[in-house]
This record gives sequence, C-alpha cells and structure tokens, in this order.
Amino acid sequence: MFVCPKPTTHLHKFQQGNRMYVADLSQCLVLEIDDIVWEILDLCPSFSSEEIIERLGRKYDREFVIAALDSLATMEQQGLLFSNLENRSRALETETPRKLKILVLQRSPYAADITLAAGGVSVAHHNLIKSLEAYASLDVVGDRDERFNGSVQGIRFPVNDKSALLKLMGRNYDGVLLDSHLNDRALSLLHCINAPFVVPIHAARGHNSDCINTGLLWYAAMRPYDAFLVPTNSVRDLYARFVSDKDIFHTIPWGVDHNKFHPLDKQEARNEVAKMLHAPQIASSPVVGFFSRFQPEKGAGIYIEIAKRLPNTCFLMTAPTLNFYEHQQLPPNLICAPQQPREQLARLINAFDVYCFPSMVGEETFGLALLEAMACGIPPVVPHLDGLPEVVGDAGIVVPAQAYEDEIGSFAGTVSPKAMADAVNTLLTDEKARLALGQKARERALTFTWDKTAQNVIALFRRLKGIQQLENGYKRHFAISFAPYLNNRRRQIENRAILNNITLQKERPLMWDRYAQSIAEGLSLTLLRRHTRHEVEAVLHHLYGQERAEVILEKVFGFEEAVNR
Amino acid sequence: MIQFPRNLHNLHQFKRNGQQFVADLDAGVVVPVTEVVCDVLNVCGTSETDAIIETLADKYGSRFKILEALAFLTKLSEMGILFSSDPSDIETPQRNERPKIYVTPGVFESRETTPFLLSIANHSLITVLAQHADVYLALPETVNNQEVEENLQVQGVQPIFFRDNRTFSPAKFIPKDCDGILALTPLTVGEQVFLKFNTIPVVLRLSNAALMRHAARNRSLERCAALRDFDAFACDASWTQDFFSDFVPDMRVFHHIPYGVDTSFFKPMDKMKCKHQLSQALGNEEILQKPLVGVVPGLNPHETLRFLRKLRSANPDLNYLVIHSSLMDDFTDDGCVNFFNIASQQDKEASPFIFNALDALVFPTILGASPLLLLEIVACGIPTVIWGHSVPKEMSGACRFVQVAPSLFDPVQLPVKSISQELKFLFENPDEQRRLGQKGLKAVSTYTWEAAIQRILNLFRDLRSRPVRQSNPAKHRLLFKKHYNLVSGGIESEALELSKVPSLGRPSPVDVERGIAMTLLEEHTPMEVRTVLQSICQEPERAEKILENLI
Repeated sequence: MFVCPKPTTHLHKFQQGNRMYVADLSQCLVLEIDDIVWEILDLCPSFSSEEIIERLGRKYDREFVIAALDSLATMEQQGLLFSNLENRSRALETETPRKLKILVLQRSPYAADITLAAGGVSVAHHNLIKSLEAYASLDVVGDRDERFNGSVQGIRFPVNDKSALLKLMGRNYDGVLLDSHLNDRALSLLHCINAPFVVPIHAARGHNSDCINTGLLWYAAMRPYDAFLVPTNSVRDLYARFVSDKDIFHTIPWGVDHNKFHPLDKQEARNEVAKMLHAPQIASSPVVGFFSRFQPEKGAGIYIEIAKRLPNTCFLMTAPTLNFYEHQQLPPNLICAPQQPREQLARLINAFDVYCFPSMVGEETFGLALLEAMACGIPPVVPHLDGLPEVVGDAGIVVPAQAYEDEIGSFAGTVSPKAMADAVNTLLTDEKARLALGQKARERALTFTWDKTAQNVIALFRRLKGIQQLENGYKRHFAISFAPYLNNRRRQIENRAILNNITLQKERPLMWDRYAQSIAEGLSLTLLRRHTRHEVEAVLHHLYGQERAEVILEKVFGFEEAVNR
Repeated sequence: MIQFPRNLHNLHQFKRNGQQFVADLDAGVVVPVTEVVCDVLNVCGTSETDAIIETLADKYGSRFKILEALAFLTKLSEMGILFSSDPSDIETPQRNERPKIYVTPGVFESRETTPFLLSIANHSLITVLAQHADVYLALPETVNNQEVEENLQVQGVQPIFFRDNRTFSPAKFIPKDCDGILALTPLTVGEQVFLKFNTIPVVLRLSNAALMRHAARNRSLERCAALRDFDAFACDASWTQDFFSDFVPDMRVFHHIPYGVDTSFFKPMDKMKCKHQLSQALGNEEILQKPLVGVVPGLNPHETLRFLRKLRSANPDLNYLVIHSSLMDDFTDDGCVNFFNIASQQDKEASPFIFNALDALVFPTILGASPLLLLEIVACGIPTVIWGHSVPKEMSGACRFVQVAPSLFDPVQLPVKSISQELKFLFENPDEQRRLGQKGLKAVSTYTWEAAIQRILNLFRDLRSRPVRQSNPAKHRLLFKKHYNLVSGGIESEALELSKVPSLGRPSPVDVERGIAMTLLEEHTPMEVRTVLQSICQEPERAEKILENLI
C-alpha cells in the first residue's frame, strides 16, 4: 500500500486534450495518469492513505481508489514518481562553491572487489576516486542507484534511458572521468554531455591492438577540451607514432597508499610469511619477490630462469594461479604462494630483499605493484620496457631490454634472463648497496601519493574547463561549395571547392565574395562543421598520406583559428 | 541543423518556480529549457529555421543565442526527443491563386556585369511577371529610392530596399509565404543564402550570352552544383544545356524558357528603305551594292575579327554587319565589314530597321551567343544560317545548319568554309531565302512574353510540388578514426557509424570515401558530393558507385 502523506513539489500535473499526465521534474519523465491518480496526487501531500481512500471513496468506487494507490506504490518501487525522495532533497541542496562537480563513469560498481591483490587498474581507479572525493563532488554512474558516503552520489544509468540521459545532461558537470578508455560505450555520451572528458589509458597496447584502437577511437571523438590521462610518458610516446595531436596526453602518475605500504621489521615479516606458507627457508635465505599473473608475457619464464641461475636464493611468487606452469618442473627454490588478500600484501612484500618484475607485456603503463614494493623499501629490478623505467627512476636497477616497434604475441619486447639474474645477484651480494637502494626506492615512492594524483587531476579538469570556455560560443563556418571547374589554359575539367564569404551565422567576415580552393581544403573545412580536428586528421591521412595531411591540417586549422578570433 | 517547421502536437510547455519545462508526451520525458528555447518552440511549428533565427535575433540582439538554442534542440531531436514525429506531415498553407515571387536582379553584384540586352529583357520579364504574380524586387538602396519605388509600383512591383549588403539577410525581406525566388543575374553569395538557408524553390536564370566568359561558365557550374531537388535552371537558349550534360548528373534541372519577342516592334519592313537608312547612318554606300549578311559572333573580340576576316576572304561578294554589344569598332580597314552596336536604348530602338536591312543572318549556337538577338532578327523575316552544336528547338526546319563539335573551351573551331557555302547556296536560291524567312516568322510568333511568364510560373508550380528533402539529423553519427593494423604495423583510416544515444550496439565500419559522401549529403547536393568523390577516389567508377548506392 502507498503510504501518504508524501511531498509532490517535484511533480507537475497537466492535461493535454482529454488526457491527463504527470511530469516528474527531477527524473525528467512524463507518465499518463487517470482521474483517480490525478486526485490522489492533489491530496497526497496533506492526507494519509486512509483519509484519501475515505475522501475519494465518496466519489469513486473504493476498490478503484485502493487499486490506484497500489499502482502508485508499484511505481515507487520501480523508481518512478516518488523514488529516492531523500536523495533528491540532497541533490537539490546548494553545492559548495568552487568544488568541481565531476561525473565518474564506470562499468563496474563503485565498491568493486579490490580486496584481492589482482589488477592494478581497478585498484588505481578505486584509489583515484577515493582521493578525488576531497576535492570534488562526485556522481558515480554505475549499474545501481547507491549512496556511498557524504560526497559520492551513485546514479543508476540504464542504457537507452532517455530520461536518465536528460538528467545527466541537466546536472551541469564540470568534468567527466572514465574508469578506462576501453569503456567505449561511454563514447556517445561525449555528444550529449557538454563537459571536458578525461579518459585514462591504463593498458597502452595489448589485446591484439584492441587497446590502441580503442584509444584511437576516443582520440577521433575527443574535442580540444578533452584529455587522455596517462600514468607515464611511455604511453604518449607510443601514441605519438599514430596521431598528430600529442598535447591531448596528460601524464599524471599514480600514487600508492603509504598507510598500507611501508617498511616493516623485515625479519618479523619473513618469519610470519614463512610460517603462513609453511616454507621455513623464507626466514633464513635471501628472498626475491614477484607478484603478478604467472604468464610468459608477465615474465614468469624469465623469473623461473633466474631462480634456476640463483639456486641458493629463495624466489617467492604470488599469483592467482600457476597457469600452465602447474604441469612443469619448477626449480625447488621457487615458492608459490596463493593470491593474498590485499591486507596481507604489505607483510608479504616486506619479506622480500629484492623485487624482481621481468614483465614484457605491452600493458605495463605504470606498474602499481612495483611502486607498492618500492614504498616498502624494496629495491626493484625491471627491464627497460614501457612505463617501468619511469616509475623506478634511479631508485632501482633497470635492465636494458629489446623493445619492439610492434608487439608480437602481446610482448612489447624481451629481456635477457641472464642480465636480469646478474642484476638481482649484484643486489643480493652487496648488502650495503641493496639497503641504500631500498632506502632510495622508499624515498622515491613517497613522492607518489594518491592525494597528489587527485590534485593533479583536479588541476587538469580546471585547465580543460578553461579551454572549453575559450572554445565555447559558435565557430564560424563558411558555406563551402564544390563544383567542376573548366580550366581553359589546360583545356581540361578540374574539381575545386569554393569558400563563399558567408558563414552559417550569415556574417561576411572576409573581403571578397568567394575564394577558390583545393578539394582537400574545402573538404577539411566542411568536415570541421560536425567532426573533430582529429577526425579530419584521419580523413586526410587516408586520402593524402601522412606528410601532405600534416601540411593541409596546419593550413586549415590555422585558418579556422584566425577567422574565429 | 534541425529544419523547421515541425509538428509539435505532442509537446506541452509549462513553468515551475521560474523554470521553463517542456514535456514530450511521445517520448515520456520532461526537459528543462531556457527562455530562448521556449521562444523557438513557440514559433517553430509554423516558421522556417532561417526565419526563426532572423526574427528572434532581433529580440535577443544576437544570432548566437538562437543558434545555441537550435543546437540544443538538434541534439534532443537526434536523441529522439521532442521532434520524433515525421517532419513531412506539416500542413502546407493554403496557396493563393496569385503567386508571390521574390526577384533578385542583382543583389550583391553591380549591374556592370549584366549585358545591356539582358537588362532590358529582364525588365520586360519583371513587368510582365507583375501582371500575374506579386513581385518583390530586391534593390540596393540609392539616393532616389522614392522615385524608383513610385516607378516600380506603377508596374505592380514591390521594391525591397536594403542598406548594408554585408549584413543583408533575405529572410527578413522574403515574404513568409513566398512561392519562389527568381534569380535573374548570378549572385553567388546571395544565392548561397537562398539555397542554404531556405526551402523556397529557386529558379536561376541562365543567360547564354553571359556565358562568353570562362569565369561565367565556371560560375554557372558552381550555381548548378548548389541546386537542390526543388530548384531549377531556366536557360534562355535551348542549346546551353547540351554543354553541361557532361557534368550534371540530372539534366532535369535545366528548363528552356526563351525570352519573348515583341512582334509589333520586330516585324518585316520595307527592306530597301531600311538599307538606305543604314547606308546613310554608317556613311557606307557599298551596303547598297552587295547582299548584307548579319553576323552575331558570340565569340571573344579577337576571335570575332579572325572569324570575319576568314569569312570575308572566303566569300568576298557579300557585305557583313556585325551585331554585337561589346566589341570595339576597330575593323574599319574593310569597307565590307560594318558594326552595329546594341549597347543603349537608342540602339535598341533602331534595331528593327537595322535587322530589316539584312538579307541573311549567320548565328552560332555556342556559349556566348544571345538567343534573344536570334529571335528578334528572325522576327524580321531574315533567313538564317546557324552554325554550332545543335539547331535551336524553335528554329528546327527554319534555317540552314552547319554542325561543329561542342567545346567548352576556347578557341572554338570555326567552320568558315561550310558557312560560306551555305551563304552561297542561299543567295543563289531566292526561293529558299523566302521559305526560310516565312518559316522563321511562323516559328518565333509563339515566343511571347506572356508565354515566357506562364512557363516560369508553371515551373515554380512544379518545383513547389516536389518534396523538400529535409536535412534530417541522421540517427547515426559518423566518426572518422585511425586504425592501427598490428599485422602491418601501419595506420589506416575508417569511418564508424556510431549511435547518437548510448547503446550496446557495436558500431559498424564504413569506407572513408563512403563516409565522406554520407556526411556531405546531409548539407550538400549530389552534384557537389560527386565533385568531391571524383577528386578523392582513385577510380572514377568507384565515385559513381558510392553515389549511386547512397541516393
């Protein structure tokens, strides 16, 4: 039964012809109603359900009134008309000024299961959102309508729901943050929501070049006030091969949770881990650690090879599964720990003497686990591939590696096991150097905090908003026509474009009436009406090749800017 | 941009706490809207987009706010909100018996570019048109506005003066229920305005005489490329369209509407009397001694001289009179070649007497020749030798004909030998002369101003009945993107058809060339798209195939 009284200030009733409707202004939807519901809505702010039945029962059949109240109750359950009144009143409160209003779009629910130590990306996204809360008011759009805490509002956003989309459009966001660029479903929102989009690239290559191509898809659609968020310059350098506009990449490194990851008493940590894993050798011999998926591209094979080369050292790895290595003869000094809860990770890491991460997969844009190890004061050994060297800096050993121009079998390059083993061995044999490097790693890691990341992201949103404000207002687009041209000198028929000195706003900014141009230039200016610069770049690249495309782009964009100033 | 008028019957507007809302009862949604959007919604059920912009821009002091509102509405419409119903079911307003025609004799360009002959012909056209239609004539504001206005109103023409052509906006002046726009002289920028911002049918008058210059030919091609499904070219010469048949995929845009001939003015007269008058006027006795051949050259000045020298040496027993409106009289070294300049009203009044002094006429059916002159001379009963690409429809069987291959480029091949043979034949056969003269008279008798105007009005009626192809915002948006090919390591491009509203559907890839054609077709005519495709496709067949597939 529908419980009254209930406020109806967010509802508007009206008649059109002989039909009756009610509009829910906060949900942006309209429903057709009958005369009983119409009258119930009149009464429901001030009377209880029983009183309503009593009053309307005089005019209508009681059963019908009760049925109408039941239908209202059903609507309320479905989230219509009276849903979330509490949330709504909160949403209508005035926002604190200066705090940016940011919409976060993500596929997974906000409270993703990140208690397990897998997937640096979901951990990174979760931490970023959590640290952004301090600087912005966030709406998190996921698959449910949930409320997380004081400043995070969850919004259910079913695909194809027009009223939900209108609601998002009406909220006037200062920015939109995605969970990852692989979320290409959100691409069409770019068209509807008039705010800067920040799209993180977590995996630069991989998945049969899917990552690059989704990146290129976003690149095509992005406007001058949108940006890619990349954790290291390696991503920007990779994409520089494919795109002309490199300024769209903004490097903001990830952070690490220093409350969770910090040095512990090493011997104590070892003893605990040895006990937990029933591997007493951990407590007594040097330990080289590795945690990741245990697969060739993540360097599992290299790691096994290093273990074979250093038989007196304990190699401790933790992975969700051993994959196909399960059926192989592993060296006796390799200890396989099952995946640890995230809470246990710091203790496990603190048992390491050296962190060895020989990953060769083209997805290591950052290496969050690497930074976590460094935060615990463990010196790392990594190959010179992707984003790893940028995270390590001079606080670890970066082993030269063979980087590939184009990946093969998701390998971005390869590193020699011998070189890795030598580097690990150097650190194991020289305790002084190892401890010094560990200290350096710790100090370097302290400069990476999520709070800093969040502040940088906020600064990026503010900058993009500034660009958007400059961009806004109408662009002058000239009426361009295309026609054959009789070239009497050459006695041949050519094609050309004409720029007519009249804009779509019917201004006539230039001196003469018409200007002849090449088809390439006319086409570019025409496409710019509805397509982004990056799209024009793709078209010209296809039609005229990279070199000529760059020349035309420079000319056309220059003209566009000059006439819009 | 969204095109109005649109059907609005399922919308409901209301105000709550100072905020305007509009409810779409079909889509079941409520949209908070600004005051400007409300104003647009109030008028967009009946007004054209362009008129909405112009009228509201006056209220808000800038077009930008209106365009912003329109962009918002366009976005909603793409999402299937507010204007989900079929745009074609707008009620067409009741048409008056007497059509309203907006005439532009030259809005942005000076009259210097219009040959004198066309000016007076257009004057006749406008005054006769005013007897059958409400004529609105756009004129640049001058000092003696009032005088001009009074003169025009006597003839039933309503002048529309405008001050600053830099901000000229026809939408402010064109009557709301205008039936058509008749553009008499090429006005590229003005035409762009009509063709891009309106759905009123436009008839562009294409004068063959004006096509002597290459610039004019190219401009005609541009005008042709800009024509929409419900626009047309009205050529004054039947042969003009043959020259454009290679470029224009749809020749139906060409309509032959000849000028009228005032047969009470141009009629057979006493030939000898006229010859004497001419001989006196030119101070040339020789005119009386040999047959006089009128020559309408339709060529560049130096080409004309070359042509006449050759003609003269091939046929020295004849006298020649070059009838033209732009040549200098610099052929005076030869007593057998004379010039008659039709460049002023006075000359025009003398024309019937001069034409009657001729024994034959040599006329080219090439670009640059004035069909009006042909009709006027034939109306004086003069037998004609026509050379060129084709026999004018009206003269078929009423002339001698020498065929040459059509050429869009200069110089034109001059068939001097054949022409002089035809002339020889004509002067050896007086019966043939008489027969052709009579047949010509009969042929031109049907070309009255009345007939010309009826054809123009019929053309407008036809154009109005054609469906207006709304540039409806498509459901899909094309995204041109690069694609990394892992196998080759190279970058390729493709177009993706993206849905405009969020959906789970996978976008489908399209060729870049096809994508370009799809995008351009939303705002450009098929001929323009064809021009672009021919330029960007390696093989011309591919361009045709893409276009054929899309239209």
